Amino acid sequence: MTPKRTLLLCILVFLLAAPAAAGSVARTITPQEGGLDITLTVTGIPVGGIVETLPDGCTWMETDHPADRTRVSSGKVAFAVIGEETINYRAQGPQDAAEAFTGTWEDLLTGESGAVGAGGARDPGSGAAPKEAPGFLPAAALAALAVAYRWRCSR
Amino acid sequence: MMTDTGRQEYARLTEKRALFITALIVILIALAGVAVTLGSADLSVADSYLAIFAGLFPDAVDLPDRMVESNAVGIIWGWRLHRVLFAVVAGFGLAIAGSVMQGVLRNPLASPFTLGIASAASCGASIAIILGAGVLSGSLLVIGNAFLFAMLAAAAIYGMARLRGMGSETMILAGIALMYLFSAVTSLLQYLGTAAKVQEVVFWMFGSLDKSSWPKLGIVTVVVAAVVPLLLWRAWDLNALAEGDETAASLGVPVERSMAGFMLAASLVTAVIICFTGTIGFIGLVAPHITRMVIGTDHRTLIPASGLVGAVLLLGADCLARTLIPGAIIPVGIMTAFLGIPFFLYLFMRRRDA
Amino acid sequence: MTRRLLLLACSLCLMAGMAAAVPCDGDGDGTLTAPELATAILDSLDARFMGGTVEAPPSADLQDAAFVHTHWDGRALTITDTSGRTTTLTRPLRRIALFNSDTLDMLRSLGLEPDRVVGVSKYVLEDPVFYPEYQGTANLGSTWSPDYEKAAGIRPDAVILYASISESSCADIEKTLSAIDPEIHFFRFDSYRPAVYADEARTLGLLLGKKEEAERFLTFYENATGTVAEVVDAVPVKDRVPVYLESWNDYKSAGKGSGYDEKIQLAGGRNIFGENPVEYPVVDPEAVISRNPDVIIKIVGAGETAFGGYSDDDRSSFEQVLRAIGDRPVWNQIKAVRDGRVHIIHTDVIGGPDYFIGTAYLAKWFYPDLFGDLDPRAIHQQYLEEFQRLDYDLDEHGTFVYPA
Repeated sequence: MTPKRTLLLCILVFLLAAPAAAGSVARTITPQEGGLDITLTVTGIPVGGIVETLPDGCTWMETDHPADRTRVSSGKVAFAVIGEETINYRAQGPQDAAEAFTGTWEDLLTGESGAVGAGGARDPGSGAAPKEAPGFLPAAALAALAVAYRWRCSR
Repeated sequence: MMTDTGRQEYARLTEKRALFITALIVILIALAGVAVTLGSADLSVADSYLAIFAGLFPDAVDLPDRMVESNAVGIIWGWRLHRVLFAVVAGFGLAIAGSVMQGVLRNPLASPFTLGIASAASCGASIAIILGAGVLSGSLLVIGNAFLFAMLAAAAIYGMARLRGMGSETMILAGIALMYLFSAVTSLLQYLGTAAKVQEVVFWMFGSLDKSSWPKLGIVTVVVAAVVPLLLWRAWDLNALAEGDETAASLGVPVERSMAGFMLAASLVTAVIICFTGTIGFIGLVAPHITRMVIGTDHRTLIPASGLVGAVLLLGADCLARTLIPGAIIPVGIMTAFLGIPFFLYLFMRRRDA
Repeated sequence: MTRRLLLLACSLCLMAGMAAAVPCDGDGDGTLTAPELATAILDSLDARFMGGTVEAPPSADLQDAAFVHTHWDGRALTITDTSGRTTTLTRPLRRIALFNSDTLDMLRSLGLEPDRVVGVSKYVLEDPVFYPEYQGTANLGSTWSPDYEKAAGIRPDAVILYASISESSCADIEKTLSAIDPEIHFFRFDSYRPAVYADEARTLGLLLGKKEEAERFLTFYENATGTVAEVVDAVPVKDRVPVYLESWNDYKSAGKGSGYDEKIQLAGGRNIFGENPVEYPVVDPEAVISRNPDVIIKIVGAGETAFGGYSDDDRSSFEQVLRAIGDRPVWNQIKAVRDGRVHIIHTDVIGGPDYFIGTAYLAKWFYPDLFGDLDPRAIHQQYLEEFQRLDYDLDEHGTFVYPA
């Protein structure tokens, strides 16, 4: 097997493995009367943890996540994710604080972690877009590579 | 004048023997010290010794993290240490069995296997492996059979020697006959067996120390420790036998009984070793020969000295077997066979007559 | 009094090493409930990100707890391997060492991540075409000649050995490795025997948290074997095609109870030496002539015929073997030779975990009319691409059967 073929093979193997590692969490903030509504959309993380940091000037209000899976302390809130795909919570604070929310997530099955991404501020419907993107990209790359490989080999 | 030179000669000889034995002991200890640090796990020399110490005094030592991670103590105490000690004891045992055989049969090319013991043990092992039949069950199946058949061969020769009366030539003939008998049975079994089982038998016959363990080491040590004092106590009889049957008889040695007894003792030691390791050859042949070349044929010193030489040889062969090909362990019996070649070449070169 | 007995029982269990606690099981009742897991997660996040003073579970425990909750219903798993031994696990296997390369194929079919395999046999490392992703893994030698120090040094939590072959070598490996490291779990799987294949795939799927992938693979497998079995079972015994099978040594056939005999039967053939009590008998060429088989199958890939397979793209050696069989004295009288029904097949597709591809080929050769639609090569290609995750094009590479 030529080195180039090996390289292509390795890339393919990695790409094939990639979709399995595509866990992510996206945050969408909708300003409301008297506060901010925050929705976290969890993709591909069956068991995990999320820690959100409330920016200065924001205070915690409530959440629809089960109480035994939520912990609030010193300006941060921790959520234990066991099968949930959305977490809604409310915080009291100015509208421009929406940009200052930060958070990290952990996938406890794969060991991966990352920062909570922006799901598109002020737009409740845009949570859908990030969910599709991870699946599409590796598949497209795969197809392109497969075509390129066949083309190379047939020469 | 003559007696003075005689005494001086004798004193010098005794000194030479003492020196030889001391040197051997030193070499053996040094070799063992090196052997314990050899292996494909990534353990430094210091780590190996620390692991030995930690195994003996677990509370006294605070192991560094890298040693806990690599399980150094487990590797040393669960794998390397008993193997090194087994090589020492097995080499010792095979060599003293060889020197006894060479004395009894009055043939410097005799070995513990001359009387068909190795073939018998291989036959027993084949029966266990290929037919699955044997006296003990489970993991002791092959061991039990190998030992039983080896002792059967020894008992057969012993019985014939005592009942019919046998000189050393007759004993060798009987041994050869037994060897052919057991080899034939082994070959038949190999023909009937499946490829996998035949391969197992072949591997068994190579001889290896892979299967050593602390209990097995204990058994072999007990047997060797019990037999050696007996042999030393009777070593003078062996000196007499080496001179010839009539000479020995005239010295008051009960020739046939002595021969049979020595042969049985040597066979027992050999059987108990090879039932665990498979047939490791050449140690019992080469070690007494080398020793005889240095310190002469007085069995009172020949026996323990050749034991030490045998221990050094087998341990050295095992060290080579473990390190020659990285990651693989060559069966030690193959290694000892290769070591026999330069030895025989040397003997061949040394002979001046036709 | 009861408490003392309970304590004694618990400590006995602990000493037996079997009932080590399920990780993060707060009340110690042996079941990790969702609330317990949630508490553990929150404690961990609290301690690490929120400046909390709670005692957080170690991250390894937390990950193991997540696995146990997701895949094992929060409870310890008890599985039985092919040798009948039961093992109870409270934590997933993260470092697997295999002496059995057939099971490695099966694990790959189940989608096991390569980094969970920490040691493989030397045969895997000698085959970079079929096992590209394992080329950097530790070399454990073989069942005949294992590298004990390396095997112990990689600190596996599980070692997988054969169940039905090399039994005494496997027993030795187990004994020696447990003496070095008593924490290792040992499993015996075959992964090449038709009788236990599906059960093993299910068990391994459960063991490794790959239940869905196991079901997906088994659907494919049962489809491939089922289509053959259905048709074959409908053929009455007296109409079964007489077959002579020869392994890579000339005139060495397969007798009763051998693996090849089983595969001939699965494909609906009748082995003309199927009554022979020796597993691989060397037969008399005249016996083959007198029994006049309809089909002759020759297996290549080892010994004198060590060519073909995944690494070899050259058909010419297969042609030579075919011609040599036809040239054997008086063998042109045999029905199979006269009708041109002599087929060469490589051991790679009939001997191991992909035996079902070989059986499909055999079935097609035995009953070409009944299996007109069966495409063993397509099955092979799907197996390679979808389950073995290899980029290997059968149209361009590999020689496994001749004539096709």
